[in-house]
Amino acid sequence: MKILLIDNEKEVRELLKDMIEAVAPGIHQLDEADGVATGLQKINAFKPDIVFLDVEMGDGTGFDLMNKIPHPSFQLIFTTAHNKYAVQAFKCSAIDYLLKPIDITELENSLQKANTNIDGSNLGKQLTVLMQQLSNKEAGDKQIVLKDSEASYFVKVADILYCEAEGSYTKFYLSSEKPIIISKNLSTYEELLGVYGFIRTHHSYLVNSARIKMYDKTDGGTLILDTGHTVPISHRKKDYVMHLLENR
Amino acid sequence: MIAFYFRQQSLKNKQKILETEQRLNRARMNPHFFFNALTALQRIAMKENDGKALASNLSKFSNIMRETLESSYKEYVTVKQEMEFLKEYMEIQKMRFPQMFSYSLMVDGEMEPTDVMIPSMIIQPFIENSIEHGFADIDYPGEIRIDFKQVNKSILIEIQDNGKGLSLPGSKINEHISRASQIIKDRIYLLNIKLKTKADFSINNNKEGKGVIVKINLPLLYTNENIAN
Repeated sequence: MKILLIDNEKEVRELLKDMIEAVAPGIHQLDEADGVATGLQKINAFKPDIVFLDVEMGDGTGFDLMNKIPHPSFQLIFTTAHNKYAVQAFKCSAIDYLLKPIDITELENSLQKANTNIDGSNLGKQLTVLMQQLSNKEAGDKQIVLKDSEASYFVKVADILYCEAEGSYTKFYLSSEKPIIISKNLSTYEELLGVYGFIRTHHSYLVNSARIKMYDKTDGGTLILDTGHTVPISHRKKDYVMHLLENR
Repeated sequence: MIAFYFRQQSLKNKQKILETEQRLNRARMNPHFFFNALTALQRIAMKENDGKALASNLSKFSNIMRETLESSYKEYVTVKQEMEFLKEYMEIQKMRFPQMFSYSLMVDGEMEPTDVMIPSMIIQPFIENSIEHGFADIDYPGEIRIDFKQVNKSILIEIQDNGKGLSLPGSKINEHISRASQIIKDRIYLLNIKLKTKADFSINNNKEGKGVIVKINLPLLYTNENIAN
């Protein structure tokens, strides 16, 4: 997590560093700037995930700075001794407004809020990419080559039902033939087949979304394929998979 | 006769309103200064093992706070009290901006600082302006000079800095100095009405170099004089 501290008072930047280190030790990369101009430079160069921004600084205000960034790609937290700027701050899509002197518990809450937002927007980006791939790429007649120690199999992507991890091997279940076991791990194929709409529903399962017929809610959630095969969904991935399927 | 009476009443009312506003202005001098100073104290508390630095800065902070709160009903202070207040105020500001500036406070030989009174809280707004705006972004050491002089039957206070100076009308730095000058303008207006004096002040760019020079010309008032408070 990259955090940029913008405040014209060095002592305040040091204080913020100490406080961040105290509530979230060691997980952050910190950088600092002492005004509007240097702040803008650092935002472009350092590309922070989170920015702590003072309002009144020597060469302008935090609002002057934000006016130059129409689409900020970071989580913004204002820090100021004035409470009169709160409304203006939230108009800049600030996620929080910390009054100086800073309450360390409030700072911790802001950081958590920022982290949650960052996770959310990353998942959002991943979903967008995946959904684009789902809608653009048709597996069609695309073939992939699966090699084991005895032979090379030319398999139509559309014929693959799902893949199951077996240690560092991957077992391919096909609609026509018996399963093929390949000595590469599941992640390799997740990457390769992701563009054709294969979804990792579970630590050990990668499923061809085109072959999913229904979602069975019993037993914590299972996917039933058009061949009647069942594929489990891990609890953690349920929302993610459901979202993908609903937007298919 | 009646018309004259009413006019006198309305002038009196106007003066009362001004006085009340003044009191409020002084009392709420600049809350952000306190919060910023407290933040700097917080930093000392977080970082340093040196409890003494924290303790000493806390007592400076308390003195400033006490003076500010008391100034809402104390219209005059001795030059000595004012100098001590300004010194502590600047020390606290140095805690926030350690390398930014140095200062000097001087009284000329004629004056006995414990015996002479001046209106409270008229100098501090200019100092604040020097530190927070005049010195913002300068790449040389800032200097503030405050001189108290006795000239015949009046007191001349000069406040000089070597900061950015007054810029074009309407710029941010002027906005801040206009607040400081409004405060002193009202105080001097009231002083002149009450004591029938000719106090005045001026704010200019320093002709000899960089920065701003503020000159305040006040009547010589002694502590034993009966000033309506």
